[in-house]
Amino acid sequence: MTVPNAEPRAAGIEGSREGTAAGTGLRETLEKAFSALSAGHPDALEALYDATADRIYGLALWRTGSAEDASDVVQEVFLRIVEARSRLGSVKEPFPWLLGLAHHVAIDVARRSKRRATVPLDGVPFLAAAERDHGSPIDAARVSRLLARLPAAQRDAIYLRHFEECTFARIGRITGVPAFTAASRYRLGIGKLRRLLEGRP
Amino acid sequence: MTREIDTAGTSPDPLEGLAPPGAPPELRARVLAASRAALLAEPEPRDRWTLLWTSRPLRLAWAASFLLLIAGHAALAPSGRPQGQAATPSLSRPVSEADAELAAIGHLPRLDPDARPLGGNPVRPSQPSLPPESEQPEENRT
Repeated sequence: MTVPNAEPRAAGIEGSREGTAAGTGLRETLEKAFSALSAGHPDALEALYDATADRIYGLALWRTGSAEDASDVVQEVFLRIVEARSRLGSVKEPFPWLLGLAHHVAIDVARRSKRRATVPLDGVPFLAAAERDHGSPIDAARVSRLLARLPAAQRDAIYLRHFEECTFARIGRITGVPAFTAASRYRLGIGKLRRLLEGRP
Repeated sequence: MTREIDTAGTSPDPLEGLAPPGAPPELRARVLAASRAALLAEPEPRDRWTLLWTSRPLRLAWAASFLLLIAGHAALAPSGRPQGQAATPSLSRPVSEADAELAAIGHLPRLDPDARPLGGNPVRPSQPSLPPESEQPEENRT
């Protein structure tokens, strides 16, 4: 069984994806890795993994609700990247393309998995505390339990908006829905999460 | 651009100070080994049907040719005929002069009530033929 990393991924590192220096750095890293993979260099896989695996894993975990499925998604995404290496040079926006691929693979894996029908999501660690010395730290386990009560599509929107800082238009492109639908999912999800945190149904 | 949509409430961020967990450390070796093996593996030869099915330009060509066939069929179909009328002329329709020869050829003499039998007198369908007198029953004889 794959155990998720107890440590949260580093927040703030390349945190802002669009229009910032960190986002540009990620884009350059991915473009270099994609062009190297197109040329058949296997060493580019390591750089690509280090830059994206945690994010793919996080999105897959929030979508599938299973650490094992999320690990399978990461592996499947990388295999598909290798299969599509001849077309990687034509990818205009590498990171949104990668998130879109991860989203679709996560849906496929969740559909194939039988665990999702039997195992409740209450114990899934969707979150870990990033700032333990914060003034009023929010209980990560409690928020994870509340996140488990949201539909997967709303969790997707929250994840992409909150942790990948995507615009709703980009969330829509990644998840294959109109921007307004993506915005609605985010608003509904975050609103319900707030109500649950305040103890309201 | 869509920032203005995100105005859900004024309460503090429920995810503040939290972050998703990272990928398991042991996953790195597994994924990289599988990806490297796939990268270095020889690509499997694909048959023509697989290429046709997986190639987007070829699928577009399939769809375009299908639509072209449909459009061509609609454009070249006979358009002057009234709807519901059969392609072959009806028997009840009056025969035009141009079809007179064809009608004469198609005429069957044995169905003609005025047709003469071969080498005999014309048969009058209004008078049914009677059997000879000798064959009539005795009670009918006068």
